[in-house]
Amino acid sequence: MTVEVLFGLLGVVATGSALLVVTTRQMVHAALWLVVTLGAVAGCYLLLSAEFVAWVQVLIYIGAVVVLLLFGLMLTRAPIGASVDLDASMAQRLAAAVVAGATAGVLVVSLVDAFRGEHIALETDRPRGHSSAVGAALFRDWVLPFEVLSVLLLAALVGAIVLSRRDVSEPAERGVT
Amino acid sequence: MPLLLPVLLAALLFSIGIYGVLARRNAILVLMAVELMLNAVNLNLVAFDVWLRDRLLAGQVFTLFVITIAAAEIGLGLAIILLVFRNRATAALDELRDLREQDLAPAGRLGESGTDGGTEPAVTS
Amino acid sequence: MTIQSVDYLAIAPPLAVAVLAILVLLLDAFLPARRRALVGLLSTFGLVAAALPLLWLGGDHRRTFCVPATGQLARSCSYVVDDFTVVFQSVVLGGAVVVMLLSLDTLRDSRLPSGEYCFLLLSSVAGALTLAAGRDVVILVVALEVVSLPAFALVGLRRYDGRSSEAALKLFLVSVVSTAVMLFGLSLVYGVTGQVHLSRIAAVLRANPDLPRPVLVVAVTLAIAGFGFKVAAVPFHFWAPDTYEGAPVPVAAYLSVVSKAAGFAGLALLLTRGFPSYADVWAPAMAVLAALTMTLGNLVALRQSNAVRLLAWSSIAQSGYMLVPLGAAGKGAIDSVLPATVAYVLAYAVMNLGAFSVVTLVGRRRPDNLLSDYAGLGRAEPLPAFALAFALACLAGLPPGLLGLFAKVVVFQAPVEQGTGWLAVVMAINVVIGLYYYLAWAARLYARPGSAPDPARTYRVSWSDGLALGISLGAALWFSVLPRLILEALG
Repeated sequence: MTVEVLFGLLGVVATGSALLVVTTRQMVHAALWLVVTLGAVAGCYLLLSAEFVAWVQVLIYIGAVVVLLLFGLMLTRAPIGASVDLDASMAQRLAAAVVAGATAGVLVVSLVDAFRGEHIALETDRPRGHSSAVGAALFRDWVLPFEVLSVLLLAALVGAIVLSRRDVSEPAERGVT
Repeated sequence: MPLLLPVLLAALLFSIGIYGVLARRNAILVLMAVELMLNAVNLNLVAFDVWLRDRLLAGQVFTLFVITIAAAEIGLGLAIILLVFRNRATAALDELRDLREQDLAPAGRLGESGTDGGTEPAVTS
Repeated sequence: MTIQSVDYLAIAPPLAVAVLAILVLLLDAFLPARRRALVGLLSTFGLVAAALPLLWLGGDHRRTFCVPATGQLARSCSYVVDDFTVVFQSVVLGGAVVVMLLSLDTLRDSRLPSGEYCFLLLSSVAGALTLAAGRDVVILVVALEVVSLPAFALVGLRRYDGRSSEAALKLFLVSVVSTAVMLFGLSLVYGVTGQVHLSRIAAVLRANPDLPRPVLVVAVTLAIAGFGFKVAAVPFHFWAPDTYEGAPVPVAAYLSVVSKAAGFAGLALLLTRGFPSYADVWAPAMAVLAALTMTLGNLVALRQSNAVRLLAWSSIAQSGYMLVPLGAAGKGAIDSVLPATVAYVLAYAVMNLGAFSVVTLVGRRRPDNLLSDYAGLGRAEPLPAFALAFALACLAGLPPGLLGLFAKVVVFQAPVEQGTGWLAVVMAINVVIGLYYYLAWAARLYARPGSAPDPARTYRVSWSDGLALGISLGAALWFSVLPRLILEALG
């Protein structure tokens, strides 16, 4: 029972802070509310006995992704304090709200229809998301995507570096393709 | 725990992310909204994995891959946003208007192509 | 606990390209600046070499990275080499070789960083090769990201050019959003079926007709939306013209041929191998997408003045034709419509590369690349002009471009045979609209230029551009003479 209550609380925190991420007028606050959402989701993983995923979430999402986002805000000289021009026009925001509301409605109805009454039986003695279990599955059954991801990471690294270097100027003849 | 609890939370996070993607006009804020959507995906995957007692642990392994993909996307994405900022001094999406459908000057119009090509300024210049 | 065995011949093409990518990156770091051109040459020849294993793999059926059978579920494999895989890998590698040849002069002229350019292109190609062979949802998603992510960087590689970075940002944002949407759909598929291997998803869906249907419909729709972005289907198309225009022209060619072929491979695999029993759900959706895509693509293409933008809209319209067979897939007809889509992708790759080769060539002297720049090309440069005219005839589906005509007939048959006549009618109207702008462009090539021959209008075609042009023109002619080859390649 306590697990359900805890999960519900974390869910409220995650939803509330996610709403703030997409509505706040202060860019830096958006990043900080994102930390709260991501932390709450990490807590959800822990309650679902997915230990390893939870800590990866904390390390990579909160530790790396949010820090990168904050760097991005800093380097694009995001204003500190409230700014009015972060959102699109009122009409577009309304349209966005309608689309999001419709998505939520369709998803909730179809999910309730599909998974009503299903229960997750959590194993408390040995969590299935233990790092040894995940590691074994990763290297036994999912080697191929793991290897392909290494290409992805290297490409992202090289791509980010090459786009950030400033030592290349325009060629003399402008606009040559 | 009812399966609906995590799954509905994921649906809400996903919808909030969609709102953010459509309503924000700063590229970095759009990226944050995409992160919300990806977190919804991950929550779904983990919840289903635990519910199904998947022997292959596909859900949790897939979650790790999605987190990795998200990190790679963010790294490269911020490099691109900074590049745009260096060139244009803005991260606002609706100010990026150099590339778009343009109302054509008659000279370039395809419909007037063919035999009268010689009268077009681009040829004689 | 058994470790998966690896069939190295089966994975040879993507593995070779990935190794080549790293070699190129290292070589670039250690070569003196004046020898940098070697990097491009090595990449080109390496791509040709990576295609050699396909000669052994053709007609073969190999499976690797398998998980053992459990309960009622048969053994399933993540990486499968069959006819579908071999055809798509050939398209990807052939397209990549032509794009690489076109890039050689671009790299030299515009001082793009050649080592990084080749590395990113090769990484993306390795992803496309893996995607064509992937048979589970995880590897499809990961491979699709490997195709897309380096492409963002390639588009933005002209760092001094604001238009290039704007194009990269648009492509990036559209792509990450579509990936997130697609992933959410796939997570729901996993939740309902409990499987990620396409064959197992299909088996579970077939064995349990009482699975909750609404959530599966939502899931399939979201997944289609994700792939719709990648293949630039309307209403997910808007990034394509802007991105093609802002990118270096060879990169635009890569996006419109190789990256799009990869997107189609993923979409076709997911729908026909993963959800064959839900064809009555996704086929009508694909039919509507196809009709919208070709109509809008053609109508907007009519009013373009820039050659690259025209090709972008034309490639959107062509995506519509490729979707037609999937739209006609009623229950049980999937096996007969899939070859039609594959045949069209193959034909499209050949003819579009032909057009892009000439557009790249003209763009070297005429960076604005307006359609008016093509007037009188037939006199100044007869061979490239002929290649472009032939490619345009193919794209229009008009003799002598028999390749395009044949591909269109193959695609056209699907809705006629499966009883979705309205789709056939829409397609026929669209082919007529397409005739107009393709032929208007071709006619320009042979129009009489108004002034004396402009010395800047002779293009001094380099060997690499000439080779790229020759390969694509040769392939188009060859397939036009022997169109049966396309269908025979599919068995």
